[in-house]
Amino acid sequence: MPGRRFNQGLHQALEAKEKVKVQRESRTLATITYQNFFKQYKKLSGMTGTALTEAEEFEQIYELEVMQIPTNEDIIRVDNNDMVYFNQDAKWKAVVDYIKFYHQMGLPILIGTSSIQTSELVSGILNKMTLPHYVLNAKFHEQEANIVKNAGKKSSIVVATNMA
Amino acid sequence: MEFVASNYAQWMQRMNNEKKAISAIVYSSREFELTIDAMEKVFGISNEQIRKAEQQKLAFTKGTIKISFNSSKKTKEDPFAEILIEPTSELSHKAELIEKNFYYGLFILGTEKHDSRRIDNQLRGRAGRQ
Repeated sequence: MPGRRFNQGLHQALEAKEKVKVQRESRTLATITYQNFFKQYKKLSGMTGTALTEAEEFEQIYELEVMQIPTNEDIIRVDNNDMVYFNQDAKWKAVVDYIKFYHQMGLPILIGTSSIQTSELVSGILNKMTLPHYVLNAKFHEQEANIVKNAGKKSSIVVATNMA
Repeated sequence: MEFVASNYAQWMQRMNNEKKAISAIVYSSREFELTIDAMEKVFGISNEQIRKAEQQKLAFTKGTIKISFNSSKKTKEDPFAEILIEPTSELSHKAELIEKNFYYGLFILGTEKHDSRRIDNQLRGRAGRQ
């Protein structure tokens, strides 16, 4: 992009590799936080499915009110409470039990993890159970569209990282 | 969804054959009807008969079925009905009870909490129509 340069020598290294003229580092003259940047706008609004838990933050930082728009039809999703285990072993044993039962019943399963390491741990567990599954952790970009397309089908298992 | 119901019913039959008692929880009337329809086929019980299990314990070849509705259901997390199947036991000891939620649709399992509740809610939200 014109006018944009990587810093700390990265851009120069790329320039040298690509055999173009090595230019000097650009200097940052001013920075602004997203919060303060957004506050420059006279009119500010947004829409998201997950703003309600952060309503306090919107109020404090942006002086914005959060409004919940009711769904067209009643929510049928069953949201269960958290299950807490004494140790990791007990937790993963329970995870295995859940997956085994509902996979056997033919339900599609989505397993959420919060790091690539955990997603790989879960994948290892599933491999041990010889259950075919897909891992979505932003490591395999080309395959992702295909994985998402097939998620939700009978007995499919997808392991996802929350940021992916 | 019918194949899921059929799998649940077959599982019930298997557990019943293994002399285990089953408590199955369903969360909506539609899912209850699906489950009952599949049970009729697998257990070979007529619709009229199985409806009797809503009033009293219904005896079938290998045990009893009892259906109890939750009259105080308020939220979608409250059970709609419980289907209890107990095996016939020659001995006086109580059969091992296996409790299961009979879910239909995408099953989401969050293995750990994220620092932000927003992200946890995003994961919950992956479950189709909400």
